Amino acid sequence: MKNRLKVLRAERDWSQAELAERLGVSRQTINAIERGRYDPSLPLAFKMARLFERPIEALFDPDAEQTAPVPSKAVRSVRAPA
Amino acid sequence: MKPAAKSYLWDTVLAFALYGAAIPATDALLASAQLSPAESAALALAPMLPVLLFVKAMLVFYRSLDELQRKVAAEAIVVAASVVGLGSFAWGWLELRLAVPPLPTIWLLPALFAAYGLALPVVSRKYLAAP
Repeated sequence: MKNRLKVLRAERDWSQAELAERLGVSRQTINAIERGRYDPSLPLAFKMARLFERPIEALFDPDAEQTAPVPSKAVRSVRAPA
Repeated sequence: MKPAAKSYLWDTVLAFALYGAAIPATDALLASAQLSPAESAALALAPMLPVLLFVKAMLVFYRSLDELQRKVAAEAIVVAASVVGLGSFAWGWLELRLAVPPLPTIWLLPALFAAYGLALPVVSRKYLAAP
């Protein structure tokens, strides 16, 4: 499931650890959610929505898969030569 | 260190210290005292009490985990129980059908703990590893 957690966190200039503390979870859990490796429970998702003052649909899109960040080496290899 | 982890550590140290002390103490009493069969059984099982303290410490620590950590721990328990359960089940078949030495059942619980400890980092990789 795709989510906008990383963007919303960056808008507030919060670190993963800060967000984790506000939500009462571990930093590793925030990291796993941002990477799309773990989908949070409904109570945690609602907690996030309340924290960011957005509807839950603004944070999570159940119809899309989270895309993992492309490693820089791979990005270089697919770029067209100048 | 988080308070829950600190509490788990101290309870574990206490449980194993008591366990270590209970074994020679109960051995000595079993060898010297005149006891009824029921009293002997109770004394022989006395080292189990500190193990229960360890189990309680694990449960309290598990409850302090967040939802992803609990999921990882639960998957590691399933893996550990499967490995130890299937391993002992397979050995049981060997005992039935071949003349292999019987499995000392006292090692099943330590084997379960060890298998859990080994399974935890493997299961964690699914959720926590870098892409």
